[in-house]
Amino acid sequence: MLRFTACTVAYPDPRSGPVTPVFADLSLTVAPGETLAVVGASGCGKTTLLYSAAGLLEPGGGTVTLDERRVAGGDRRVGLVLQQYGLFPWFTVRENVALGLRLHGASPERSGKAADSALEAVGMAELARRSILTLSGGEQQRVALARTWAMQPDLLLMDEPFSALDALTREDLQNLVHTLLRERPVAAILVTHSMEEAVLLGTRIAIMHGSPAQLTETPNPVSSAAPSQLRTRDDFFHTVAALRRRFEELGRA
Amino acid sequence: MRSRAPRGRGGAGGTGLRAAALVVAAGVILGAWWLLSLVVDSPVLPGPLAVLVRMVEIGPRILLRHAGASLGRVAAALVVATAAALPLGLVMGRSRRIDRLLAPIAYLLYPVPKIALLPIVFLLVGIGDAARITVVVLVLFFQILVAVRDAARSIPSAYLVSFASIGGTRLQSLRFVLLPAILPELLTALRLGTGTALAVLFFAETFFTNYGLGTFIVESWMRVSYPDMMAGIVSIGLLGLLLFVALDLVEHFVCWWKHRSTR
Repeated sequence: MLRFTACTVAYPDPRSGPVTPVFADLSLTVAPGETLAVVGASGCGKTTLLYSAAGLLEPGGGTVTLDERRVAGGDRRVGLVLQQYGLFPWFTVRENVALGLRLHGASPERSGKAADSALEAVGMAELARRSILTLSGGEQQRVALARTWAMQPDLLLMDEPFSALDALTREDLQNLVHTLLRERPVAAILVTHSMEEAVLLGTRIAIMHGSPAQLTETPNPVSSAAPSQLRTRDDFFHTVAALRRRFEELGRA
Repeated sequence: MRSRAPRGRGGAGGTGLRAAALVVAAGVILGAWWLLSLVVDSPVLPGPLAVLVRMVEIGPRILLRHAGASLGRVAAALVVATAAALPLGLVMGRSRRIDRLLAPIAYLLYPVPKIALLPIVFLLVGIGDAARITVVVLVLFFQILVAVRDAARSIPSAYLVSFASIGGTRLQSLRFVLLPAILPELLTALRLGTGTALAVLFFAETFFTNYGLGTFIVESWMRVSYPDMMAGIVSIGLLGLLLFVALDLVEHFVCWWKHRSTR
């Protein structure tokens, strides 16, 4: 269980001292099997929330814990998937996926085996020896997912992971993430600009708004359906429309 | 899967074409030299065949010894300059504060023609090889420094965020992220630098030494032995080519991802 307890994060200005916090006294929980989809305008603090959950940003106040233990930067229990993939071209696909495990002390054999099965899970096994630069955007994001998945995280964090991809590739990857999370139901946070994506993948949806930012949750009555079936259903479109209306209301407020 | 076609110049066909293009280019240069020697028709510019014959005659005894001395000096300068400029360039590229402190100094010193410092270096370091190597190091140092600093500065933040998120420490990022990321630019700076380094070395070798292609060329000129002089000039050109090709091969091997689709 991921738990934010009265967390405050502010970026200090080196000249004028502390500035308005991005969020203040934020409390939040995400249980295993839940995917919290966070939507919000650009610059509202979504990535800051995610980096705090990953332990890459130390909150000025409060705590972030995963299963009652504080999250620190590079915590093996946390996997982060970025919009820009963050893969290293000087390593092959397989080496990229194995890198996290190697950094945590796994032997080359063990990290290699884990990389192979993670690549298998995302449908990239046959490209294991390839250079990252020969892959399409969708394939690179699959490799990034495999790198995170190979470490068997207890918390999956995704920072607008599909926004740089074309519509069809995005749908493929949404289906893949849904499948992975169904097979291994860990706690997950998905930060996205897309209302549709939030409804497709979020078991819970939160709108981030205001300054300091607040999270306002809104129901997702269609969360139990698989994205591949949901996309053409009327109740999906109604839910997206309701979310968009709520988003606009909170924006005006 | 929608993988892109492999990029780069790799593959047996590409290598064969490159080699053929180099042979054709060498033929064009030799042909132009031969024609020029016919037009000038002076002992000052002997033709390629006469120079080749002279190179074969004096190569093993004389030319190789001079070329070896020059190669040793350039290689030492490349190693020392890289060892000094690489860490400093990395620190400047990744730390705005240190860059603000040191960049103005580098900016002011970079354009100074380092060869003009040769007399001071001879006076301070002595007239041995250390002085000649020092001058070449000064030339290479700033080229490498600027290239590494700019490369380190432009490393995408996604690399560092993703590396930290999978548990990489700052020290590990040096090995797994920063050094591999700046390698292509470092090797390009070294390849560009070798030309300048040889030019500076040629001048530095005309003083206080009996060995080196610079001293051989000037001494042959003074003896009015134009075939020897041209043999020295061709040798220094070949030395430059050798260094360039060696660095090209290193780049091809260590920056494999730029040339091949698989390791």
